[in-house]
Formats: sequence, C-alpha cells, structure tokens
Amino acid sequence: MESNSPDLLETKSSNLREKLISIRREMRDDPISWSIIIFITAFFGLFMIVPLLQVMFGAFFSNGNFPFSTYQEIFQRQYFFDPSRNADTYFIRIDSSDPNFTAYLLKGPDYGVFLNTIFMGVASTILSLVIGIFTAFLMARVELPGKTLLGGFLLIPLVLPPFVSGIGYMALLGYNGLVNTEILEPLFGIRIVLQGMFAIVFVQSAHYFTLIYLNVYSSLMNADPSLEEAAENMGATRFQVVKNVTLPLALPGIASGSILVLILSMEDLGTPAIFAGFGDLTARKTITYYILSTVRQSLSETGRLPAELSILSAFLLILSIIGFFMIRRYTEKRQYSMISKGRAGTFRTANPNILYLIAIYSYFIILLTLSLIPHIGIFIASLTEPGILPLKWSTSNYQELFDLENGFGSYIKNTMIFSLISTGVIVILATMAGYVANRKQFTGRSAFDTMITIPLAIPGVVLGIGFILLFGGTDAIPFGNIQLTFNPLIYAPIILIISYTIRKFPFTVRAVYAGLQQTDAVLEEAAHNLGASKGRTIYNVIIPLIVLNIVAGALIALVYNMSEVSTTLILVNTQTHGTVTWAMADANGKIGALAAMGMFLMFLQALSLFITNVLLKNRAEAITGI
Amino acid sequence: MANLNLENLNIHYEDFHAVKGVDLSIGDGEIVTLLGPSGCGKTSILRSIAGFIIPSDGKVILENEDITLLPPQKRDMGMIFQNYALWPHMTVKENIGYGLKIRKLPSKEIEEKVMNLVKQVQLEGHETKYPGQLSGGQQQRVALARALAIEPTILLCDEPLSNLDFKLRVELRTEIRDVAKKFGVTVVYVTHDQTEALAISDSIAVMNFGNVVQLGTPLEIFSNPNSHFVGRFVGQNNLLNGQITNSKNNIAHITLSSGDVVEQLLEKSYENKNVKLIIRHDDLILSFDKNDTNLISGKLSYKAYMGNFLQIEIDLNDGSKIMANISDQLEKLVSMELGSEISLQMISNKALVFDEEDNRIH
Repeated sequence: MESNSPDLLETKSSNLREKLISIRREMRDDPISWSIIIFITAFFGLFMIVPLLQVMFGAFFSNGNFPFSTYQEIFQRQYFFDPSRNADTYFIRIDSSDPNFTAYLLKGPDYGVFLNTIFMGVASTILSLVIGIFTAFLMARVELPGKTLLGGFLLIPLVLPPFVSGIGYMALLGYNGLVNTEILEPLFGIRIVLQGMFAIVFVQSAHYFTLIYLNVYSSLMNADPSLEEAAENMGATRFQVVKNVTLPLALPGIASGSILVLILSMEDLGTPAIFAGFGDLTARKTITYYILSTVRQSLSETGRLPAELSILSAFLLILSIIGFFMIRRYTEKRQYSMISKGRAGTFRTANPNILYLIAIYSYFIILLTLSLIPHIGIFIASLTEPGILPLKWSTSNYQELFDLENGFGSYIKNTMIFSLISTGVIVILATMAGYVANRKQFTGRSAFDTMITIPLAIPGVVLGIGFILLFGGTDAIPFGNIQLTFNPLIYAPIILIISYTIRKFPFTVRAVYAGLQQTDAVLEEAAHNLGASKGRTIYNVIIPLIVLNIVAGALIALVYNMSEVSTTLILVNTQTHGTVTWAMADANGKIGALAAMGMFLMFLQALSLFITNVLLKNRAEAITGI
Repeated sequence: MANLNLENLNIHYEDFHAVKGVDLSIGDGEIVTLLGPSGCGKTSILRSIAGFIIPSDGKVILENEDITLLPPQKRDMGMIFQNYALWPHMTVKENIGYGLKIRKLPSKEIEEKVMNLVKQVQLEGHETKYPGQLSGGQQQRVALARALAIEPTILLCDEPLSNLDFKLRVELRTEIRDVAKKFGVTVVYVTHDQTEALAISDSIAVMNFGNVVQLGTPLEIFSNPNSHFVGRFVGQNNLLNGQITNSKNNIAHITLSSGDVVEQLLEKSYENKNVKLIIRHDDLILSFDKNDTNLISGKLSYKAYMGNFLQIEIDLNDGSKIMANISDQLEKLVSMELGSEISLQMISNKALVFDEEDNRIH
C-alpha cells in the first residue's frame, strides 16, 4: 500500500499541473472572459472569502491554539444552553392582575441562545412547510373560483420583510395592539398575546410560507399531467396518486424550499431585533441578536470583538453552507419531473362541492388574515398618532418621513444612495459573471458558479463580523498578512455598499442566467458567422435579448438591498449612516414614523415585484433565488 | 378481455363539439384503431373510455355494464400514453409493478409477474434502472408492460409510437400487436399514422370532425373507402376534379379539369356528372406513347430519388398538380430536366371515383 502513495501524490500534482496548463491556454484564447473571471474572483475573494475565512479562523484558533476554554464557556453558560429551562419564567401564563381583562401570554420555550435559534428555525420551517404545501395543493389541483385573485393575495406577504412585519404585528396583536384592545377585550374580556419564540415563529412563518408555496406550486404546475393520469389509470385513489406520484415529484421543490426557509429563519436578525426593541427579553436570546448586541457593546467599550462571536458566527456559517449545497442537489433533481417528451393535456382539477368550497375559503380567509395582519397593522399605525385611543388619523408620520434634514428623511436618503450604487455595481458585474458562467466552458467553472451564488446562504451577520475582523483592526488573528486598517465604523457606507453587492449578487446573476438559458447560443454564432465581432455581438444580439432579465434582476437586487437588515445593523454604528431598516430595528417607541417608513418600503417592494413578475413571469425562481 | 360499446357518445369542450354521437362496438380481443387527423376527436374518445373525460352525452358500456361515470381508477384499463408518462422517481420494476401494488398483491407474486413482463418486452437487465436511463424505445416498452401488468379489461394506446423514430415505430407496432394477441387483450389504439393503423389493427374507425366516417378492416378501408375523405387519408394519392362526359357499357369518359381524359369502369352509366377522382401515387406509370389511353400530361416540376422509386410532381394545364411514384424506366426519368413535357398513364380502373354527394361510384 505504501508504495502507492507517492504515485497518488504525483497524480494529484500532475492533475493540478494539467489544470494550470489548460487555464493558461484558455487565457490566451479568450482573454476577455478570463479578465472577467479574474476580476470577479478577486472581488469575491477579498470581500467574501477572506472575511469568512477570518471568521472560521477565529473560531478554531486563538493565539495558534484551539480555543477550548471559549467553547467550554459557551457550552456551560446557561444563557447559551439551557435545555432544562432554568431561566424560563413561563411557557404560557394567564395573568388576571388587570380587573378589566384576563391576559393569555403565550411565550413558548426558552432553551438558551443556541437551542432557541434551532427551535426558531425548525418551528418556522415546519409551520411554513405545512401551510405552504397545503396551499400549493389547493391552488394547483382544486378548481376554485377567484383563483387569480387568491394567487395575488398570497404574494403579498413577500412585499414586507419579516422584521417590518414585526412592527405591524405589535400594532395589531401586541399587548396593547388593536385586536386586543378593540376586539378581544370588549367582547370576551381577554387579551391573547404571542411573545418570545412564539411571536418570532408566527411572524417568520407568515412570511416564509410563501417561499415554500411558490416552490411547490411551480413544481406541481410543471409536472407532466399524464404522470398523475397514469397512476389513476392503474387504479390509484386520489390519495394514492398524491402520495406515490405528486408528492415525490414535488419533493425536490419542497426540500430546497424548506432548507431555504430554515437558513433564512435561523439567520434572521430583524425579527428578533424588532421584538427585543419592544422589550421582549426572550427575543434577545437568539444567536443573531446576541451577536449584534455583543458587537455594539464590545466595540464601544473595548474596541475588540470577543472570541465567542467567531464561534457563534462559524456555527451559523457552516450550517448555511451545508444547507446551500443541499439546495443545489435538490434543484438539480427538480428537472427529472420533466424527462418525458412533451406534456399531454392539462391537470384535471378537483371540483369541490359547496361544503368543501366553504371549508377551503374559510382556510384562505384565516390564512390571509393572519399573514396580512402585519401589513394592515403597519398601514393603520402609519396613519394614526401613537398611543392614543380612540384612533386619531393623521398624516404627521408621513410628513416626518419626507423631512430630509433631520432624522427620518436622512435614513431614506441613505437607503436610496447605498442601494442604488450597490445595484449599479451588481448589474454590471452580475451581467458579466452570468454571461461567462452560462456561455463559456472554462476550468473551475463550477467553483466560479458556486462562488457567485453562495452569498444567498451566507448569513448577513456573519459577513458583517467578517468585515469587522478583517478591516477593523481588532485583536482577532489576521489572515496571513492581510490586515487593512479600514475602520467600518468610519467608512461604513463603502463597506455597506460592498456587502450589499456581495449579498444580493446571486439574485441578479440568476435572472441574467435564466435569460441566457432561453437564448440559444446559435444566435450569437449566427452573428459571428456574418462577421460581427464578439463585442458587437454582445451589444447587438445578447444585450437586447436579455435586457428584460437584467432589468428584472436589478429590481430584485434593489428591493432586497433596500430591505437589507443584518449586515446593516452590524456595521452601522452611528445615526449619520443609518438606513431605514437600521432605524426601524432600533425602534424605541416611535411606532408611527417607523410604520410610515414600512409603508414606503412596502410600496417600493410591491412595485418592484410587480414589474419583475411581469418581466420574468417565473416567480418562484426569480424571487427565492433557487 | 372484454367487449366495449360506445353509444351515442358526445363530448363538448365549452363551445367545441369534439365528438358527435359516435357509436362503436369493439369485440373481445379485437384491436381497433381510431384513425384521423388531429382534432378529429379520437383522443377525446380514448380519454372518455379511460374515464378522464365524462362525455356530455352518451354511454360507455363495458361487458353490458354502464361505466360512463365510473372513476378512472375503478376501470381496470391499462393505458399507454403518448409521452410514456413513466414515473421518473421509480425504477422500471417499480413502474411496472405499481398497479399490482395498488391492488395489494403479495410482493412475491408482484415480483414474478413483473419479471415475466420484463421478459416479454425484452427489458431483461434494465429492471433496476430509472426511466431517465432508458432510450425512447425502452421507455415505451416499460409503458406497455406497466399497462399489461394489471391484466386490463381494455388496453388503451394514445399515439404511443409518435415520439419514436421510423425504424423503432415499425418494430414496436409489430411487438405491441404480438403481445396484445398473446395476452388476448382488447385494444383501442389511437393514431394519425395510416400505415401504423393498417399494420396493427383488426379494424379501423376512420374519424373526421368528431364522427366515425368509416369502420372496417384495414383491407376494406384501404381498397374500398366510402368517402373521398377516407380515400385521401389512407394511402398516398392525388385528388382530381373531373366531369363524366359520356359513358358506354358503364365505361365512363371522364374529362379532368386539366382537359386530360381518362376511362374508368363505373357501377352504371352516367352523363354530365361532376366527380372527384382519387388516384394513388403507385397507380401511375410513365408513358412515352401519345396514343396510349388514360394519359395525364404536363410539365415535370419536381423529382426526388427515393431509392427504389422516383417521386415526381407534374404541373397540369389548369395549374393543378399530380404526384406519382415511378419505379420503371428510372434512367430516362433521372436525366429528364425540370420543365420538360411528360405524360403519365393511369393504370386502368384504378381510380376511386366519388360523385358530388361523396358517394363512391367506383
């Protein structure tokens, strides 16, 4: 056996050598593509890979050794791990202290920061899965009057990032929310309040179920109808058809959708931050919120990041990257539902009787009411003066919004500037990257493709920590010799724009890629054949053909930039650089003005999603990015 | 293994009347083909037999039992779909055995039956593969085995071979017929390919605009079409307009719209009657003798060498065209320039003649 190993080494090094040789040949043959590849790789290398390696490095090395004591500390602290719920004050509490009503406080479990985060992710995913799949089935396989309208309503949750929903949620369902004070208390003498993990899971699921719904719905609609007919023909009952054929075919869509929800809900900083801002102590006990509060505290006190932050960040990062590769595997599988040649006919939809119809519509009314509560809440809160009952309508919140000089106006100005610049950079880089990734065969192509799409899964908090570690000049161990003094606290706008660019890059790349996939390479060859140069072909043929996709991709990036929370919260430390989301998450009572800003975001998001939808016509992939 | 009757079957799609009161009786073990152009209602009939469409009027009767409203899963019919409809997440074996699993057969029995079918359709060695790993022909064999596994009362085939290349089509249609006869199963087969229909069927129902226009054996359909539509649809042929100028002893002189005159034996004598003639491509030969009878002349406008024959087209005087497959005197024809004057002779009494009411008069 031993004699084999030198051979093995030799093969490996000769493989590498062969690769290098082929890269050199490719560079000579196609210098333009390779300059793009090198430039984008350098950009991602410096602003994504190096910061993330820095985080990983900090999690595994402290002064050259594995930081055992830090791990020990984390696992022993009750604040992090509390499986027996010693710190838990209550799970559900009935409070009769007020003579006017009995309050039912549903807080849910508190197992400490680590387990809470896992609970939050898993619970939100399961809830989103159940609602998303059930809704997708109803929409795809049952004959429902007014289906188009329902489909439109189901997309509304998407126009509000979950953390903005938190504000609307407080306005309607909070302890002093309108539903409690105006409906439940006068009618039943009770108040029902979700708090802690339950509130976060509620808000997240009301948003994320749409991602599952869109994925499963498109799987169901893209499957070949005759596959279900063949099963019916073999004698399978309606239930057996679903179990043996429909579900297995939709499984890749379900799997990738649920992994995406798991990642997004675990790395969600905005929702816990909103509830924590309103004074919910359990909401503070999630990994993301812990990182945020520790960063703020330690930077202002000591100017250094404690080592435990690297470990917590690395945990989130590793989880997300594993999730990302699983999603990839499942989306590749998704295509197998279409191997048969052509499609025959359309799906036979069930025609429910009146009782079923009533049941189905009741379901939709409850679902839509619950998922739209945040939107209604924000709308009402934005038009009323806070804390005053009965409601007093006023437009003062909106006036404050457009006061550019002091306070809120400047947040909007910052948001627009950062988002627009970043979107501009994304459009240019993502178009080039999408083009080479789709059209060129080159060594390392799949690694390149992974690099430009993986930011989808990278938690914003972690990237923010990476930036601070890399540029901040803290006591974290520098990676190699790269340690620039580029203080994010001072240069926040530049760092923010870079982080937005990295994080929202995949959405535009996806859109461009999709456009190129529908555009046959033969069209380019035809132009070359008639004597057009490469540049001219791109200008005259490619760009006109995919311009709609580029616009749509740019809009998605813009929308997601404007509602970016995690990196912004981590990196922005002064009001001067605050964005809309930054101000919202720092909510200290000013619910009216925050709600007005929420309405502003909602409006922009709705507009952009509408345009994207019209342009791309392929909702699921464009919006969810998978 | 059953007989099937369709009684006054009507199918509407919103405003479109797809099937218009079709009556059809299919005997036990018979292979019946519904043949017709696309949109003629043949697939709609098949889907209503399978139970995927509920007809707006009429009955589907299986072994004296009205099954019109019976859900598809209770019909015990095997179906082969145009696009195979194999479940991509199941292996060949799982696909074939699915219907048996639904019927809760013991797994040992399922295994036996599946392996027997795998052998019948020559798929040994592919049992554990997924459909995506098979060629088109193999996929269609799996579909056939899957449909036969449940020992269906009726085997329904919806253009099963249309996605395959020519050679495979020929091979598989023979195979489907052999296997069906071996299992003794009643087959309803839908196709728009007339050669396929001729080769596979015991009888053919030719359809047009939602009606069955002729029902008969392949031989009857081919040699005795009852309307000019059936005549045109079955076989390669030309449709020419003409007028019977005079007849003697039932032999009519027909003047074609191009001015050429042909003789044809008819059922009786007619005078001054407008007719339609259908002349098959194979029933025309090359003629270089101006004194021959039944000559149709014009300018050569197209020729294509097809191996054992030459396909040519001729522009006639009135602008109409006629095509022929010529297998004699190929050398002369090959050297002939396009635009040259040329004459074809119709083999005597080979034309199919229809009167203005579309009644066959020969």
